[in-house]
Amino acid sequence: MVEADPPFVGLNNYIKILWTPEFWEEVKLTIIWTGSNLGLIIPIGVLIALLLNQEYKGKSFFRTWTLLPWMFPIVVTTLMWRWMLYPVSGVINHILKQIGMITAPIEFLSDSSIAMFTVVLVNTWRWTPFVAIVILGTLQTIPKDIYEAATVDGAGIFQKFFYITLPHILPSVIINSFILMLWLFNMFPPIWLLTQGGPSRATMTLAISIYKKGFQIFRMSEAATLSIILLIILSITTWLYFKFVGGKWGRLND
Amino acid sequence: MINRDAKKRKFILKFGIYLGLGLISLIYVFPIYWVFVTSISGFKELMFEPPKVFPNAPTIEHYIYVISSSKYLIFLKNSLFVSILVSILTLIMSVCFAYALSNVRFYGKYFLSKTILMVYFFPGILLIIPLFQMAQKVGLYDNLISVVIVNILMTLPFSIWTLKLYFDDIPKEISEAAKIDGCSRFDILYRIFLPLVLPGLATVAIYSFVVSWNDYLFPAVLISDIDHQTLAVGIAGWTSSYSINWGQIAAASIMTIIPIVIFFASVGKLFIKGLTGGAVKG
Repeated sequence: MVEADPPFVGLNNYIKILWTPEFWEEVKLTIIWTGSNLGLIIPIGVLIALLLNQEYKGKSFFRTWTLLPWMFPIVVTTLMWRWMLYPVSGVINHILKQIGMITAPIEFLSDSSIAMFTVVLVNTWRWTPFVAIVILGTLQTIPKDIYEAATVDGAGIFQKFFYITLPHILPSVIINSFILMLWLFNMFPPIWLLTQGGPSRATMTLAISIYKKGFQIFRMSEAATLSIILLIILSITTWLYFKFVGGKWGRLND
Repeated sequence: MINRDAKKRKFILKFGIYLGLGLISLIYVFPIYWVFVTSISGFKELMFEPPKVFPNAPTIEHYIYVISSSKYLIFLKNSLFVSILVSILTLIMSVCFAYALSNVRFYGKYFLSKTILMVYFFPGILLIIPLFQMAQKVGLYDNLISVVIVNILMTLPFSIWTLKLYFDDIPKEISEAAKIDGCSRFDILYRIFLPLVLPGLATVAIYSFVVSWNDYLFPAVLISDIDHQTLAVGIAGWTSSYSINWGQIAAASIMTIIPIVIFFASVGKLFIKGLTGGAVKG
């Protein structure tokens, strides 16, 4: 599996990879994957957190059980969606057909123009509850009397949101977006279990590429090279974060 | 007039809240309900008939097959072995580590606490090549012990960090008073600190159990013999056969999530508290 006595090649592996168009295609897909996931998960998560933070019956029930989908094995939730998204026997296509939105079944996972979109939506389904619960935790630390004082002073719903709620949760939103971004960048199971990087490389992110190179075509040195490149990208991102958003970083540590 | 307006607005707000909650519930409950329906539908009904809200002839054939004729029970045994070992070892190690970070002065503490966070941020796929080669070199390839070790590596950062926040909350005066009364360091940890941070301990135990129970990547890479495989990878493997029987996969899925639901029903509140506690203080 591993080359018995591999020769020392200096930086040749890096040069070789950086010159292939496939690599840049994978970088582009990884950025699309991470960006669109973040763009969906964070706003929807914050919205759900705001909703859960209201007063309603069954409050404590909802505030606890929202996290449950996130605790399910990723294999279970992902395979479940794969089954529901089947073109002919899948329930999603069936429902869409019944309500007259489509005439021919949509190939959610085998049409290369929408496969990435589908995988992102399935992953959003899984991660939004996590973000919602964490942001809800922050929302609950805002003292109630601030809102009461604002009401007395005649502030409306939107004013309260932009001048009280948002400034309070912003640091938490930023740090959680950052951590989630790092996780998304090298997230492996959801894409692998839905499309294995296909159809025709439409969902081939760097993480999938590393796994494929290492454990399917057994080119360990290429996979290791890609890992190091990924590590460098993530390190630079982290460094930039330290440098420009650094003040909030301290809040995470202590 | 103003009163009536306020009432109207309140009504609309309430209506919006319940509508939103209903919508979210539907989006999250429906897929789980659908797995259940699939698990009790016959094979023919699944493959050749349009989907139905409830099967015409509910059957438990898939459950019987999965338990008696598949490797489900072997996977279950392996998964339990990994998850229980991981949560016990994570608990012991993170308590010691967090206590040291919170209460002991030593050289390189700052560097160490930063390094731990790095592992938390860069998990999984980046480490897979070296871990695979190391496991082969030390003879732990295809051995569940390697999965246990790697999972501990993954669960420790969050666990240490969570417990450290809990330990930091305990007033220094308590441990100083105990020291004056002649308590050893171990006694302080065991008799004073641990009873005070029970929610934190529960959070760490649940977190590490669930993470290792759900882990897909590491068993997939580190285990080759199907008899040593865990539930996650084992069930996923059923999709690579020529004809996929989704009824069996659904039945196995339902049986795999039931422990988590029970777990969650009993200590979920405590876990949420511990999880959001980090965000509150952090």
